[in-house]
Amino acid sequence: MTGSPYLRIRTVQKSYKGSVALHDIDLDVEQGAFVSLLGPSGCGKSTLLQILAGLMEPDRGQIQLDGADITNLPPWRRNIGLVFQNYALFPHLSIRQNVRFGLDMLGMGRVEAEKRVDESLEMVGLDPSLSRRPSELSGGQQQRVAIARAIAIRPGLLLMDEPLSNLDAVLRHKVRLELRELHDRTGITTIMVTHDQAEALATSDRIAVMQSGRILQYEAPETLYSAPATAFIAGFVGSPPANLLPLTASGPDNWTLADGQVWQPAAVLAPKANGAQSGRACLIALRPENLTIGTTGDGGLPARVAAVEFNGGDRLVHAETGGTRITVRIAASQAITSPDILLFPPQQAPVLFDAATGTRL
Amino acid sequence: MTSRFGKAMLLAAVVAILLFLLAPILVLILSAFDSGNIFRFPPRALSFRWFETALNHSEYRSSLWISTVLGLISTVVAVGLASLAAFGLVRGKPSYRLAMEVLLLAPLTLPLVVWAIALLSIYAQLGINGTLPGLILAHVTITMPFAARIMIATFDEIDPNLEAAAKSLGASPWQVVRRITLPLARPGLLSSTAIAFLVSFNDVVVTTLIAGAGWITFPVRTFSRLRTEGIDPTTIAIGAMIVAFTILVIVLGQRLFQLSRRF
Repeated sequence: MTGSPYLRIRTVQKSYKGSVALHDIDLDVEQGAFVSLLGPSGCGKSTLLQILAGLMEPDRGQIQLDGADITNLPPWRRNIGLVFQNYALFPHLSIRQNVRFGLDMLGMGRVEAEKRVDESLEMVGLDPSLSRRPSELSGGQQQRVAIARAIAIRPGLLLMDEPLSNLDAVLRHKVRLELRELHDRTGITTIMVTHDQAEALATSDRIAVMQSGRILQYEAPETLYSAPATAFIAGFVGSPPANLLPLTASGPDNWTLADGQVWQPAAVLAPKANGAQSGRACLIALRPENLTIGTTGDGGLPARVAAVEFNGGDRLVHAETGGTRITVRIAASQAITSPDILLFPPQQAPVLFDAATGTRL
Repeated sequence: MTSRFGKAMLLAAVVAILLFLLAPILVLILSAFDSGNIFRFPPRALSFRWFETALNHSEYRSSLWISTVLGLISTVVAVGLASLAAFGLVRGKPSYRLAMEVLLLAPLTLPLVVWAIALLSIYAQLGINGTLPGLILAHVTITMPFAARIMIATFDEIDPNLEAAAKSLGASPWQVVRRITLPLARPGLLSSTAIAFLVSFNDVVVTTLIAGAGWITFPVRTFSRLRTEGIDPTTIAIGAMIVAFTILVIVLGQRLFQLSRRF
């Protein structure tokens, strides 16, 4: 895999009506990878997808797919499969005709095309003998037809725009697993746009987190989770996401919390060990599952329990400290006996951000 | 609240409204079979004499022919132009879309007779008064607002993602139009065609002023005879035939449409 990557996006920029939707986007995708573009609405992820599909032109920048420059290629010459949130099945055509549409455009012979339709429908778990109209299918089935239609042309790249958002919660879980399995079976390089971080973590090899038209971080899900590049990512990724506790360095060994409470943590968590000069305002990211709860000991953060949620396998403890709500995940077997507790962060180098810029310290 | 009495009242209201709407057609059809020399209702004796007269009446025949040809040509032109305009406004989303929609509907805001007088003076300048092209142009002007309104609504209803999906599957813009947009716009195209044709076919005001003596359409001839000779039972018979023809077209259209949907 030396040389240039399979999909190479360089300095792609796009503005509409005076506001910048994408700022100089650079992104490389390896062949066969499953990549998610993750971010809140309006972050530019759908614009980038439209540009990749050729439905929108970038103001500048270049896109290369499999060594060829496709920046100025119209969508019908790109061989890129597209799956929409609303499925966009052709309502006047039967399910088989929908799947066959791209093959007819290629001028494929009848026998071969019919065989390919069977294969594609089977691949997404649908009965190829379905002779119905798309409107007669459930949302989940329509989504499968849309995917079958996109993969039938054996695209060089598969783009999916919020493919799971129109499904109910139960189906969404099931289909996201199927998407990953389908990807592993076909090996088609896939880019999925989503606002749902759990979806991105569960399916992707790499995730590009976007905000305000920029890619903040492009990493494997594990790295994104354990080493978020900005406070925004830490507070966005994870279910529940990391707690962000504001604190100010008030000496080499002490932090002061927002309510004036002074906290003297273990040495590895102290301002001195993390290069925070006295007076610097920071945010510390604390993962709910990494915090432990105790009643005695040094370096603990005094907190008061506001609510405890029982989730079957675990409990979520919601506690107040330094004027901030902190969520802690504990084992279901552990009981909270007193509302006054101590929170212990893990004894390792903490994930700290500058409070003003949100960047990693 | 949905008492038996309430339901009965609702049914009575529906029947009354339908009767009110359809009564003229009933009067027309029943009188057409009357044997009297003048229009009268209710009819007293059954006869086909007015149908015979109508079919042999050369003036009415030529007027019907003119109306039909004029209606067909101006409908095709108006629906074609309106569809192109509507597609551009809906898909192109220009900033002036709303302004353009208002302009397209503008001919409906003035009384037709005022519009016709203005057209008359323009056409006189152009030297196309009393010519078939002038008449077609005038009919396109009065039918296009209806067609444009329907086609804008039709294209608004078609999800642009369908066209994007087709493009991603290798369809060129022309193939997208032929295989996706046009089939989905068909109901709108059919209704705008029907309405444009009817507006053209029924027009008296604009046609009277623009057409002169050369191109007398069916409603213009009927209207002028009405003023000189009173109600002519021949026109009643022709009216009945038009109603029968329209019903036939609707029934056939329904059948064909259903068939093509099932395919």
